[in-house]
Amino acid sequence: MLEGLIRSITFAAAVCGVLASASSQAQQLTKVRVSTIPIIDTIPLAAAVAQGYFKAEGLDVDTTPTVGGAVGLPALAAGQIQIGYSNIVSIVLGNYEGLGFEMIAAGSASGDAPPNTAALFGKKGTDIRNGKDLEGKRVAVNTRNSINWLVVREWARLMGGDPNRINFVEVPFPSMTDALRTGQLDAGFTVEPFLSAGVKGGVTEIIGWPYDRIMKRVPISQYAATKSFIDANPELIVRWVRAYNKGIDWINQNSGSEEWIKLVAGHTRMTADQVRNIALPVWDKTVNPAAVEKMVDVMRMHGLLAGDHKLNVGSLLHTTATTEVK
Amino acid sequence: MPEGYRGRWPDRALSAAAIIVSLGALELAVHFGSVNGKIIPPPTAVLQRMWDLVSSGAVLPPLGTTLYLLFVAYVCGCGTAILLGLLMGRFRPVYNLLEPLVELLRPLPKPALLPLLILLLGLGDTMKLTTVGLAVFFPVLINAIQGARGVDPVLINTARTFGYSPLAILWKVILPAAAPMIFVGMRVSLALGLLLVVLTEMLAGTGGLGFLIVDMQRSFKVLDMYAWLVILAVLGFALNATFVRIEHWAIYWVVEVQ
Repeated sequence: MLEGLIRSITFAAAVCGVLASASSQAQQLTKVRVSTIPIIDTIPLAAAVAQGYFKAEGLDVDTTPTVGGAVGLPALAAGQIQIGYSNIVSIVLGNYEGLGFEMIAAGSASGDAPPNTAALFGKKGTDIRNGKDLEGKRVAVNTRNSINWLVVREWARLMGGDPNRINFVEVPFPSMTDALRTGQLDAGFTVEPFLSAGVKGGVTEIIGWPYDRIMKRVPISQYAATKSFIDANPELIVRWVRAYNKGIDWINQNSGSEEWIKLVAGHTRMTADQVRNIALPVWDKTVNPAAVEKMVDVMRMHGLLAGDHKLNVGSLLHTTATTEVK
Repeated sequence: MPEGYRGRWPDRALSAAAIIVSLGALELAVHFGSVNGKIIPPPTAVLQRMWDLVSSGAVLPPLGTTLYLLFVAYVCGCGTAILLGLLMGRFRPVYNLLEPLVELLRPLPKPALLPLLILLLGLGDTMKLTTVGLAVFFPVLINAIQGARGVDPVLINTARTFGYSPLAILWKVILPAAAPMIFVGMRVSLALGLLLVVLTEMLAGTGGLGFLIVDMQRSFKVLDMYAWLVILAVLGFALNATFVRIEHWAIYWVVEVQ
């Protein structure tokens, strides 16, 4: 009986020991909340989480999906998330209004020629061909005052129309194809994999490539944090970006493989067939300051950043965004 | 002057003082940095921006859009509800016919129906007016039914004695007798209607107060967003005050019990 008692006490002690070491290991990981959008552009983040790169850097990354950067960034300003994935326009607007947003890592950029990773699309058989045709029409964007909204306006302007006559309606990316099919909207700007899925399904057709009309390698999106968080946790930011960059490497090296397709399909809630052969964005590990300046100019041209003070472009980029973190 | 009237002024001063003290505390908190002024601007800045918007006339187009939607949906919703409510209240067969449908639809929170209505009716004015109309309809309907039922039978019998037709009884006796209850329902519906108008504009609008509030949020123009929110609050207050005035004029025979 004594033997049995000693055995059970030893067993209990061993279990406690394991639990204690496990919990102390968990305590070593710093929790970082990141807001994201379930589209192709954020797949390097998903890969970095899936491959354990963040854990290797001592970070426990918790992702929160949102419909767009313009929705995720207010949470960043409030401190509920530490890093936000967002389109460049929303980050610049937030920085301009004094919310302290700084880009810490590059997100996605458009390529050098069509097919781009995102396009203006309409119902199959649409008669919208240029900017003038878009006037008075209802066009879907995921959020207003974002890059999608801006590039459609710029495309319309370059193609002979008045962007102020377009009615922009906010619709989440996955819902745009249905909204076009039922005729609630006349056109939309969407991203992969929803773009190809709609075209392949014979429901929609592409009207134009706004990114390509503006410039090559539009710096579509970045990851941002607040200046106060960066100043308080510079090391953490470097570790996060290093792990994220490894995620980019993995995505580029395994492009098209079955594991890659499974990751994309799970991340965007599409089927494996729908995510095969989609147009990919360019994933660089740094942000090009000149490209950012160009986008800021486009923003000014459309009446943004028109307040009583000038935007300080230097305050937009943290070192981890301009110098590759290895 | 009635006894209770003079007593109102100290009460009003107290509630005004409470608001002023809270706003003052917020102003100080922002000034001394314990609240981030970029996320919650100081009240004086918000009032200044409000004044700019009002004095420049920039407040008028969105206000017009919102009020137009509210007014049309409110009138249609209330009109249908009063008519249906009086009929359901007085005629058993009508009540039995429509009551299950009403009880099925009434408990559904109307904001939750918005995605369904967008799917069915698109994103245009039809959808917006239907959504707001539905929200306005039910409180007035229920109150109209109860109001019609609660009419003193002596009034109705007297009217019958004078040879009134059923329609005349409905119009000249039942409607005025049910009016106080109907007005209660209409006041609830006014607030509900404004809520739904703003919500619809936020989700599917191209103008109006709700659209602007979301737009300012998307541009991170926090000061403007708060200014428009306060304008919305003032609108709600003004609508309610106007409603009370109209109510006192319409059913002047009801003595307001403090």
